[in-house]
Amino acid sequence: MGKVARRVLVLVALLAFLFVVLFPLYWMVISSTKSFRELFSTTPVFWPSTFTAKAYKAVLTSPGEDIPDLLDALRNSLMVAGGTVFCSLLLGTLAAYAIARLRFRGKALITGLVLVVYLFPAILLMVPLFAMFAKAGLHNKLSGLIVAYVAQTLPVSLLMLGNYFRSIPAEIEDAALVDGCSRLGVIWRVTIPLSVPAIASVALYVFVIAWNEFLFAYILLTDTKKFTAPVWISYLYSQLHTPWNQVMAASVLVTVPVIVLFVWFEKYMEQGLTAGGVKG
Amino acid sequence: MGVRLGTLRQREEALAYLLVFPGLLVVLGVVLFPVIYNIWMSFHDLTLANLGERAPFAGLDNYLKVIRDPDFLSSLFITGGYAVAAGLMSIVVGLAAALLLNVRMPMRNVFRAGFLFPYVAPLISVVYIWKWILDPQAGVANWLLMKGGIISAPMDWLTNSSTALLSVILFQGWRYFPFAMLLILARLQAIPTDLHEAAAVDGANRFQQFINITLPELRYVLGIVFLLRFVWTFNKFDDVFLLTSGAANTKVLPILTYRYAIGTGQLGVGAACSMFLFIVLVAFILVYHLKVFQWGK
Repeated sequence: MGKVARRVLVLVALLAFLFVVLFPLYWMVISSTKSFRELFSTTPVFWPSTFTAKAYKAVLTSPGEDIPDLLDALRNSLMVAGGTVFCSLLLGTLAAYAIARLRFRGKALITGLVLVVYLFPAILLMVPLFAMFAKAGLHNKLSGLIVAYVAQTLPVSLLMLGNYFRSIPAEIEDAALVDGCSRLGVIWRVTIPLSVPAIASVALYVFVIAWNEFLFAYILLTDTKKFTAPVWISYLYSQLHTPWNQVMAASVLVTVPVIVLFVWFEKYMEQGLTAGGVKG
Repeated sequence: MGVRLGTLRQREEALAYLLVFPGLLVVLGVVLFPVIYNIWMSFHDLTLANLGERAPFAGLDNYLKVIRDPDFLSSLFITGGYAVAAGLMSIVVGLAAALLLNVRMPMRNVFRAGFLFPYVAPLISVVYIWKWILDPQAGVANWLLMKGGIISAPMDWLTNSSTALLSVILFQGWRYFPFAMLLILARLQAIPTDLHEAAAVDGANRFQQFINITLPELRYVLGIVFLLRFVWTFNKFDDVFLLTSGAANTKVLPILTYRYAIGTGQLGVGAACSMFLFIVLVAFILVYHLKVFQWGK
């Protein structure tokens, strides 16, 4: 087979592949803008005759009785994801520095523990965390959710940051130490500024994990006002007659921030994906 | 001098503990302690109602209750079977995608980025997109399949017990192949090109090259991806919960655990049920440690 023919064949295969992978994305967006009649027509409508923003307006302002609007849920999600990123980065940076640079007894034990926690599936923590949070009165507290997410994302933060810290030449830090900088000063003035790419990767990875998380948010939050966006959508879905156009509109609104982050910072994001996966 | 070095060393060690401590505290408190608490719960008659009091010791009652549950054995088989199927599915699709992306091509990075969508998008969105696509009344999937002559009447993909599990597996192949793709592609690009060139000179065709050079080079990464996918699928709760709620022959062990602990408030029984997941995980970690790390060396 000729070189050109082969490349054309690969290109066709790639296009077909991409179609299957992205068709659901297209269908979500299209469905969210259809009129009710076209949404449920017997022959599916692939390109609506008129686009309407009714579903978006509904989810953002008045989705129905005793459902707060999606904006509240998005705000909750943002607070949880932001808080998780901050804590995971703070704790991760400190611990990763110690593991990468300092000598101390018990280091092997701690790195082993990190690997085990990394492999640890969330489901095994579901029952005990549910019970512990109920006992401690942490149900319906967004801060409780943050603690759970920090514990789950910390291993990946540690691994990624630690690997990066090790790649920074120790001589640079030693020079700062000789100049009279303390260790904490070195971390703050030398290591962190030099590690911006790794910190960005970790921040993005942790943000997306916390933003997308469903299981813990679902079992720990029962107050509709405290719902994060994924729980909110599942609640909207469970209404007597599923308002599919609204479910699709809300899904678009939760997905857009992730896609924007991904397109802007693809390089950083991929590092997180290969290091940690979405663990699922 | 020796003394000063010693104190420096000690100061470094003290600082290290200080830096590690906050992170360690969170991991111990929210991962390690819960695991131990879970083991304790599985031997006690703890329910949502008596959570504040001393729960009576129950011996193996909780475990017996799980084993005697008529759903348990089938659940164990379903979980194992579908974890293998979904793991293989994501590897096969991921391998195909990686091989295609390994060909030098304009816009290659655009395809690669596009392929990652299922994996980075929020689970909640992609689950409901698929539920809507597979909807028995107005779903586009039934319409397309009927148009193509593959089925003759609309199917109820996610609630029919002969298709629900298959639908979940296909969904997971679609969602998780990018993880396999990324790892396989990274490995593919590390294979020295002169291996293929030498084989081509010796007259090996592309298929022979794939079987004799590419696959052996990929063996290690395929092994890791499969093990990771298997264990993560085995312990996966939200995909199945959101797609089928465990109905129609899809009651996997995580769903059974959820039903006990949160659905009916029998925390002790739920804990015992999750211990079966735990045992599989521990076995996996041992294999992972003993086998996979050896291949890598």
